[in-house]
Amino acid sequence: MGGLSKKMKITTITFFIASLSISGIFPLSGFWSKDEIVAATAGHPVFMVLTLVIAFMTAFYMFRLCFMTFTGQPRNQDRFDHAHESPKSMTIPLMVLAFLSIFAGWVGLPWLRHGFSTFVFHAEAYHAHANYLLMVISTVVAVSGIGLAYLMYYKKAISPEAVVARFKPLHTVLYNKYYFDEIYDAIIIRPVMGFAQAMWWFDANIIDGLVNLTGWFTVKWADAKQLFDQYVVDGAVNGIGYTCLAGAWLLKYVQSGSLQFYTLVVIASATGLVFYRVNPIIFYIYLAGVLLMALLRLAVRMNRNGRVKTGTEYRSLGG
Amino acid sequence: MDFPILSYLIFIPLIGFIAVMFLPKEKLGLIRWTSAFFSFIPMILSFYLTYHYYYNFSGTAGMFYTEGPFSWIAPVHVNYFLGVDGISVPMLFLTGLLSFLSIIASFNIVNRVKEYFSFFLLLEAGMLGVFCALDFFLFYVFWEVMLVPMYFLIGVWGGPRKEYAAIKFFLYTLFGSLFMLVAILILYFSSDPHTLNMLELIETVPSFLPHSLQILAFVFFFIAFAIKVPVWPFHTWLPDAHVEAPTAVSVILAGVLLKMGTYGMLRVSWPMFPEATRFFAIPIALLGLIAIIYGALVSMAQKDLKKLVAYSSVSHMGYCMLALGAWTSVTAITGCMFQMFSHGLITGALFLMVGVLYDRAHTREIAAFGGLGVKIPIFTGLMVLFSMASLGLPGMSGFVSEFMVFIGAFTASAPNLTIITGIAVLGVVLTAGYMLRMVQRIFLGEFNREKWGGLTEMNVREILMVAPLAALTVIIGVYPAPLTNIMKATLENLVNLMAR
Repeated sequence: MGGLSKKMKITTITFFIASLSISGIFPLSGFWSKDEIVAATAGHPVFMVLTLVIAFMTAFYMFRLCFMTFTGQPRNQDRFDHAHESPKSMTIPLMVLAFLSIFAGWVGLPWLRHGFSTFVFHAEAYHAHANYLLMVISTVVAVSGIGLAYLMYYKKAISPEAVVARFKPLHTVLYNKYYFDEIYDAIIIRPVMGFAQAMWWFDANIIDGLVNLTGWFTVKWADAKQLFDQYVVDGAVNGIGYTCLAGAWLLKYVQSGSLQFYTLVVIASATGLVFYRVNPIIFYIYLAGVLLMALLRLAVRMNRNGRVKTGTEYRSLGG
Repeated sequence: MDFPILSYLIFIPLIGFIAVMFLPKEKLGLIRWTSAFFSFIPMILSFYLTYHYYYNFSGTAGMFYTEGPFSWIAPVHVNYFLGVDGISVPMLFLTGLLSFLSIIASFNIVNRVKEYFSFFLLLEAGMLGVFCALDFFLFYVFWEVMLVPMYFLIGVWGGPRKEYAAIKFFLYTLFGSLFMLVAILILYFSSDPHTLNMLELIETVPSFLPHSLQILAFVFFFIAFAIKVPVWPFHTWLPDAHVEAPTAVSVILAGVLLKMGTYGMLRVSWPMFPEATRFFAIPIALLGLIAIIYGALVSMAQKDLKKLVAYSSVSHMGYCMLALGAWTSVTAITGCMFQMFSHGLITGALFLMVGVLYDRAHTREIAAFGGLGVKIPIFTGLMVLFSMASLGLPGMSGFVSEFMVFIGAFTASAPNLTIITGIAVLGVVLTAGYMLRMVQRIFLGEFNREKWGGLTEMNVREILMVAPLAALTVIIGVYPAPLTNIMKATLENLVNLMAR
């Protein structure tokens, strides 16, 4: 920006009025409000000096802004060409506010009995006594602030760059707003966001993980039960069936109709009885032998009936 | 009331469920409007019920409009018994309203339209039934009836991980319901003569049930209700179900189904087991605190807009749990009810808005957007409104409920509760954090014209379906008296019952 006063007359005038007022130039409203505060610090030198320093700075930075924006040459020609005065909806409020920034402070005039406090307090209020010396001092301070801005940014008698170069570290800290944003970012925002990420990880992996683990475990348990059911429970059911089949297959030889076989059984049994009378131990050995032979015989029979298909097995049984 | 309004409320959607099944499946318009009609009538009935209750009965506590008890399954003393009081009426209002709006919001469903709408009406019947039932068997039946259509609505019309989300929701909730069934059986077999009448049991349980069984039954009921709320750490079904469900179903899940948990606590657990409530008050408030802070933090970490809203529900239902822990305070319990109602409106609306955006953008990734405010200002305005309501900006219903919960819990004259409440207030800051961040990243900043230049503004149907929610959020936020007056007498009576 720069040189905008040529294009924005109303804005420029109202802005200068407001700036004069906020700098505390007599008799604009800013003067009176500031005066109340300066007067109240009268007894405390530290506060008074601080207040005056700040008043000086206010006047300086406001007029730095004014001079750089509205006077001099445009720093960006393209922007300048597009700049124009605001519509009435903006300029009328500006004028009203400029008017009030001139006169609104007059309710605080010292020769009105209660001044502004009439509107704030309902009873008698503390009220600083008018201190004409202080008024003069603060006005001088404000005017000198404006004067410095005038010299630096309008007349360009003092180079701002030189001042910056002189106080480089201070300028850096101030330029970065005392690094407040960075401090907040480091001690609040980053930890909170990090913690949020950690909680999200915890939620998705631990808590939901437990839920999914429960589901997984249930499914696996169901699989195990399925195996148990298939091989143990159903195995028992089928086992009964197979046992019956095998028993029937064995017993069918008892009723083969072969007279020789029956005779064999009778003779073998009689022999067994005799052995038992002599000595039970001999009988048991005999019985084992008979059963073994019977089993071998059955095995051979089974193979003859073609139940086992492979020839090697057949031969190994001696059939 | 000279007609059985509660039965009408429940059975009209049920008739609708059957009627829609008989319609030819290619007549989409007919199916949509028939469903809208069958959910419009219950909505009007629920409004009329609320109006009638407000003008005639809100000053006194008690069950009004009872229907029954009519003997239903006599050998096991099951009755058909309905009734509503200051706790159920706002919930019926909310259910009626959200069901109708959700059906309107479902008009863009194109896949298996007939099944969708009939399931939706069955769901509505189940929800209305839960809020009316005064017989445990009936309550349990409605509670379970709701699950089945919900399972299909998520599992068939949901997003990419719909099967996982649907089965997780179903099994998790069923797991809880079984505990409830056992607790109901404990009550049934301990009472003499055997009864399933909730009102009778509220009167008599503290006197006849042994202390240990009271604690056990309380814990069993609590598991069932806590899963539904959901209370941390039973909450992980929620983000999956909410995110995968179609828009309208998310609205119902967040707006109505979550409230069934807290409703069950207010209707059953708290008045029926005062001793156990006192015993568990501080742990419950602690669970609420964890949900508030934890839910807000997890929300903050979300990249998906819908998941952010889903986790914000976990956080917001935490306020209800905190209030329920402060059972001595009528203000806290009123805040709990207020929060249930207000969260139903706000989160329902947020899910509708997310759906509107997803329909256009086909993504919900927050980072994919930016500067949408210049392109779709009406959507932006409404979304910001609901976000502000959700973070509890004064003038919106969310502020009223959170404020009542905090005031009530802080002054509930339990020293631990004061500390818990003090920490819980941090949740408000975190909520503001993630909501504002979301608004900033989606609606402010650089607008990608190439990518989002084709986005269209909300249409009239979409504006109309969120407008009532926006209006109600502001109205009860500015002037909460009508809602608090409806609940006041009932909740005072409830606190007296708990002080036994």
